[in-house]
Amino acid sequence: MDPFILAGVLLLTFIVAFAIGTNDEAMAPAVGAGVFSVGIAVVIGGIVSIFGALIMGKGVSEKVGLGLTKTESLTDLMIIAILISMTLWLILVSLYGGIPISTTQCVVGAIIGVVWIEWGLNEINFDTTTEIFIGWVISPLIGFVGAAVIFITIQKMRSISIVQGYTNYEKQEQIAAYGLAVFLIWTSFSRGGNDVANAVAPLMALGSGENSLDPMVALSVGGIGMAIGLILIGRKVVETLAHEVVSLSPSSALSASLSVSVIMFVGTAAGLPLSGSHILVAALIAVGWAGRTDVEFDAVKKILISWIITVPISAIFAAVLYTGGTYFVDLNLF
Amino acid sequence: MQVSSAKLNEAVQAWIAKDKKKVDELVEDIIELEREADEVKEDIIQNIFSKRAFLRQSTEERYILVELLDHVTTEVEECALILRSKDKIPDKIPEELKVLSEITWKCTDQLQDAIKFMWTDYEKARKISFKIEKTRDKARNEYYTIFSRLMNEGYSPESVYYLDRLAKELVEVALAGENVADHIRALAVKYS
Repeated sequence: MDPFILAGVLLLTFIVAFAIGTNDEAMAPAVGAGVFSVGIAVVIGGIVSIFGALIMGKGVSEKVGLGLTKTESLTDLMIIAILISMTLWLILVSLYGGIPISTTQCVVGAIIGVVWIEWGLNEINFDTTTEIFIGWVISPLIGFVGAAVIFITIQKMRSISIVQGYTNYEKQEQIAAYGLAVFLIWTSFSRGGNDVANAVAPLMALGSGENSLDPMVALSVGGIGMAIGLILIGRKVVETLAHEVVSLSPSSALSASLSVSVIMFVGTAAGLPLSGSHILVAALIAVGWAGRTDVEFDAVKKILISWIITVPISAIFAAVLYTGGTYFVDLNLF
Repeated sequence: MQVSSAKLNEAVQAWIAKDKKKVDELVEDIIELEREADEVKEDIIQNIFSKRAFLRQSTEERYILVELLDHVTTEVEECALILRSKDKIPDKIPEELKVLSEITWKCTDQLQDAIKFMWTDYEKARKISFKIEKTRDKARNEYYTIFSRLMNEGYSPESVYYLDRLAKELVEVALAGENVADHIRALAVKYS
């Protein structure tokens, strides 16, 4: 790969990873439960994400980058259009709405947009697309059920304790708070690996052999970009999920987070591009429902709407950007 | 709270017995206790709650408990001030006033137990909270008995106003106690 193009693509990867970081809500349960302040949560999340990206990111990258087209490979221009489309939508939603959306959906939507415009729908590998789509639908369902089961189990264990009083309850919540901190670090680690794929996957799709990019370089740039995005803008999304969906205690937040960590860890190890956002929001709703706490359905509705429109908007953005890019390339302006 | 409530009952008994000197001493003690309670409350809020000694939800629940307990002490002080405000103790006083005062004291006594058990045994705390509700009910019924007597037994308008005010304030103490009991019961139901 030409060094200038490589530098340009790496810069773009950094910006895309930054955008992904702006929408990383993994630490939200800890903030909602009052275990960490927002500032501390985003710093810890950022640092852990970098390690997650470096250690776990490679497995997921190969799937998303290389599986969505049947025979064709994504061109450089397509990759740029995909990256910019994802970046635009993520930053818009994070900065102005503080709404957690799925970066996986952004990428898949953008890839579908450019492939459709260039080669038509027949070129899209619907087996892989369907597998990803099923993952999006199943993961929140599993997250909801898993979180509800865990939380109800914890409540039942409390109710059969021999001695029950407020002191005992506070001790249990304190233990839950420590457990929550540990699990959220684990979740950020897993999600670092999963989310960095969305930034570097198009790069990995550039090909193999002497033109391929060293994965560790790409993952490093991605990890650092995500960390900075989370620290600078991601706090808005963290605050939305922490305070505007449901009221959390350490035990309810832990139940939600346990559910998310386990599902994300298994999914990332298996190379599935799961949506941490879907799982987390569903898990929070589940603990709210199980704990008979008010769930702010207006906030949930806003989040669901943004999920639904993310794929088409990403596709449209990418298609428009790619078409515009093609036009300027044809005019020999690039 | 409990000490000031006990002193209030003593003050009412002394007042009914027309011992003005003792009433004044006890009222001064109650005022002093209320000030101390305020200082303790501020100390708890400034130096414990604000320093994140407890998790957020626990802090909120403890804060509500502290505020409600402070309200009981404030109502006790209000009652004591009413006792002191009239120089001449009325000649004719409904005997139910003595009963009402004892019921109010019993209410805060039960409340002390409810708070004690809240930390170690939700079930006991819950049962006591129901007892407090019944005690408050008795206080209210006693008040209406007093009111009926004031309306029908030839009390002077001044006595009617003053005695009614005093009786109502005693019931307010019991009501404030019931509010604390309700909060304790809500916690017991929520976390058990």
